[in-house]
Amino acid sequence: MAASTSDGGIDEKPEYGPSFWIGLVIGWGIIIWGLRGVLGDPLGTVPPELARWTFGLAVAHDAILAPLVTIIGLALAWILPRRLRGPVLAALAASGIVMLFSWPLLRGYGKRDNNSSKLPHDYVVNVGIVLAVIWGVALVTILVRWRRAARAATLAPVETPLDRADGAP
Amino acid sequence: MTASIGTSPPSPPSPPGPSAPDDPGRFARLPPVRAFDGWRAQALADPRHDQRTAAILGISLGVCFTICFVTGLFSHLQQQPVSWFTVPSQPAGLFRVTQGLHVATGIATVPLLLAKLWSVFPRFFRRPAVTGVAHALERLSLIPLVAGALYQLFSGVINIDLWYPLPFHVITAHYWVAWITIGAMVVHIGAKLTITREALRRPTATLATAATSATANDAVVVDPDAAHTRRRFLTFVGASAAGLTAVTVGQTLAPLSRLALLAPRSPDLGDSGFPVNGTADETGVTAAATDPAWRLQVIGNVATPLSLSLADLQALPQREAVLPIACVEGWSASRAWRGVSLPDLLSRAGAGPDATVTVRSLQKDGGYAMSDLNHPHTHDPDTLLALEADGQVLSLDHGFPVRLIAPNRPGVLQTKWLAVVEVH
Repeated sequence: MAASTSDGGIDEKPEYGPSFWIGLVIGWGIIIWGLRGVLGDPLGTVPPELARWTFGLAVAHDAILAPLVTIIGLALAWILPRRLRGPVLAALAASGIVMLFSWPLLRGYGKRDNNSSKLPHDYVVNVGIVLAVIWGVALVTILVRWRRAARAATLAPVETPLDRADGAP
Repeated sequence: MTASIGTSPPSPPSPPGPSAPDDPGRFARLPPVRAFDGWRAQALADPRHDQRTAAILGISLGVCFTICFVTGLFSHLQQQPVSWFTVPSQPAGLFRVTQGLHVATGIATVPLLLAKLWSVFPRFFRRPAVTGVAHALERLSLIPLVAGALYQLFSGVINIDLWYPLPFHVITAHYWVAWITIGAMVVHIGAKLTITREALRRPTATLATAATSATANDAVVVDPDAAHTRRRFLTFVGASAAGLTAVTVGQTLAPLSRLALLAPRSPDLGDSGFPVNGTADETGVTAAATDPAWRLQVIGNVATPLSLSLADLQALPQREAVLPIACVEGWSASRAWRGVSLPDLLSRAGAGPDATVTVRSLQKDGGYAMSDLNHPHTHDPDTLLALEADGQVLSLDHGFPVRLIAPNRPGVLQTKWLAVVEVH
């Protein structure tokens, strides 16, 4: 259900039926089982460090990554012409995902001098190829849209006064 | 009347600057709090942030996390056996499929999770923050869900990339945090079941109307073509997931290995043409493995203990089996292995029909210096004490003089540089 909230936005009106309470009991049962496992193996999990990393990742996402992406997205959407917005923002987002995913490969953290099968590729070149494909697709999309729009503009008939229902100039 | 040509004439270009009605910067000139409210209201009216998009991404994530959880549990049960579940030895490629699926799905989940978090991000700032006890419990349960999901993907990716910056055992933590994340997901599903059902059932036009009527902010612009915008966004997310999978899955799907630009392993690169995890030098076994005095001891609950040299093993009847070596890190490679069948060797030593086995390596330390074989694996004729791979004598890094290779088994349990077969 959509409901008005104090800040003028729309949020779902929270509704808590039986499914919520059943899910809550079962879900927290499983969560407690997991927490018990974490605390039951302190040498393996080092709970304070694990907590630092898990919550740290969530905070890093919510306080840094998400606001940064939002601000960059809004700024570029403001700056870019409408026809470029979609493809450029999509290519930028895809590039960000690729860079985030490839970071350990690019840094070569897992490389071993005595074992050529670990990280065997030249990842700088390979990431470059993937990014080139992404931006190539974006460029093609922009060109196709531009061509379509140009063709539509050419084919659009010029409206004359006689075309109008009321015949007014 | 204007003649119809099947295509609407393009709308005139919007005037530049913040005064345009669909200009995302139009809130920038407002005081900060109102600008933020304006941004949030506008974001919530955007089909990429609405309930239907959140529902579709949520269902996709639910499926992916469930696949990862089930396949991960299977891997865990292989490595930490329990009395109530006996891992079968056949089909031979089962672990290869489940673990390949585990890693590939985890990688595909990276863009899905980021898209979902971005999609629901404006809801993070709802006011009032909580509306009651139930709502507080629901929001509290989001902490383990978001933190757990991010940790699972982060630890999974760094683990396949062989990067270990965390000051704890990544896999142990990965296992227990999986339970926490799945539990939080169950809570979330219970909380969002009704909303998800309604969001998927409701026509798109109704969603747009709801957005218009529910907002008190006149500056908010509702996308007249919400379905199209949503479809494009979801197509982008799906393409990102598919693309990331395509450039990595070749580490287990050999036909796609040339496309695997971002895979940390390649099934055909490494010593003898396939990957190596621990090398002989790293594990300190080089001298012992190449010592002519090396013998394989078959001991324990047997009628005739055996002490076999490499020549003795080569003189025994040999069996060949094409089996995958499948690593928990997601890569796998099939090879034609040749060596002595374990059940054959056990019958020569006079082991009983209920025998199970522990194999020990020349490797002194580490979690993989030994492994246990359950009853199905011990008695499967394709469980080999392998001497050759693809017609070549095993290389030192692949376990010379003899290694275990068994069907449906993680690579970490395919113990290399065998020294002892202990029968129970």
